[in-house]
Amino acid sequence: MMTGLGYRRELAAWIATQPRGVECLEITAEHFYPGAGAPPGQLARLAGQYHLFVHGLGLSLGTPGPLDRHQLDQFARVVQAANPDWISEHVAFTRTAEGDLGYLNPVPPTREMVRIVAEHAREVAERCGKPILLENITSHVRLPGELAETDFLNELCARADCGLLLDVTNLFINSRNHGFDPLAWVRELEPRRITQLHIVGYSRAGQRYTDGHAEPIQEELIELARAIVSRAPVQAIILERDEDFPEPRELEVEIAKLARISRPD
Amino acid sequence: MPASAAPIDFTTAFGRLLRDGALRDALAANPRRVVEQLGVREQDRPALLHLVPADLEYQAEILLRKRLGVVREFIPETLRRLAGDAWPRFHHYARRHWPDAPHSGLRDAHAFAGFLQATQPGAICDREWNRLEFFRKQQRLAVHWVRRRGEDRAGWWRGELQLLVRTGRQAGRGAEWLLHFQL
Ligand SMILES: [Fe+2]
Repeated sequence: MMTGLGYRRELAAWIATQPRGVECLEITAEHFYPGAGAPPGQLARLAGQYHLFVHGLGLSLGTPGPLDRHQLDQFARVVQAANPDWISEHVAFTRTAEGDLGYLNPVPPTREMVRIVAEHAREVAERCGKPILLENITSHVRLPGELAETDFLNELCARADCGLLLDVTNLFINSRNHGFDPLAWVRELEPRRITQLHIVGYSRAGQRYTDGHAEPIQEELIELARAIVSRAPVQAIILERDEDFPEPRELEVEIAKLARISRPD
Repeated sequence: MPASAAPIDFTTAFGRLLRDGALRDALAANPRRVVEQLGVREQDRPALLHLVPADLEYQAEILLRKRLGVVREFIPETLRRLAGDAWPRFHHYARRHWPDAPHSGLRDAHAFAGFLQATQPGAICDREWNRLEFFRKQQRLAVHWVRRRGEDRAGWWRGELQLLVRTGRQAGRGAEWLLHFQL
């Protein structure tokens, strides 16, 4: 299993030093769209140093109807420049026919939604010529549907013929906010689909657990990740820090924690 | 809130609820009536009726916090002046107002600054307001004389010449230059 982190501008200087334990990088596609301020040639340079994965935030696979052509074109151009091992997007919607919502929102676990997300995922994979993984999100609402969430994800991966990017932190947060056992949830998933993990410390706001992407990884998350890795052929784990970036020394400690998930002492 | 001619699906209805605080209030008060008025497809009604108002509000708040993050890029000094008041003031404004694309971040920042102008004018940084107006009006060149309170000594003011130059054709972020001359 490779260990790595989400590439962020704030970490660029440290990443350029090829720190110990960082074997792969996850690129957020939108950060490399025209006008986003990424230096020219940056992707090619990173691709020369690391295994890359391209992660999308805004393709809105859960919106009924056709994908946004402009978004898909921009995403495909980033994929072409990065030549990643695989690409990924969320099981979510960020826009409706009436407008943009700016961030990820949950979709109901229905057979109709399996069809919508799966068709969109297949289209993105075909357009980019890369395998695609789908990621579970944090949701503060629980949407009922015909399927349990895990059956929904299993059917979705089967229909899209794709892998799962299991966000350990999102799973943990949802389990705390909605009162279920995260390990039992994982046991209901088809293990062979779980290809990549995301992890970062959770945050708390009063009674709620939230995904601020701003905290060091807590021990409960390491334990949960270890349980997942012990039963699934996970190929990579990515530290997904977006805020309050710590000193390089602390990041190296975080990366070392990830390495220990697959190689317990 | 007229019912649309064609029934709307869950995603469309959920999206409307996430964008509109007043609609969320109405749903919390009388869910059946709102679902009926929205004209939601029969098969999607149970999911909407099942929504817990506090959870829906929190999900919507996540979107508002993301918006504030984008707005912060346009008016960092104004938000710094508001300090702990920044989120409550933005929440009050944003729960009732959703910007339309394109350049929604710029529109949002401008509309929020307009809201502050009406309710708390001292909070707005003049330089940031000038810059927002410059972007919004798609001007090529603008010069402003700005008086700014000095940070080194109480009661001290300093003048500043603000020169805004647009070099590209695209309005909004990334296509403009901002030059300050401090005198
Ligand atoms: Fe994630």
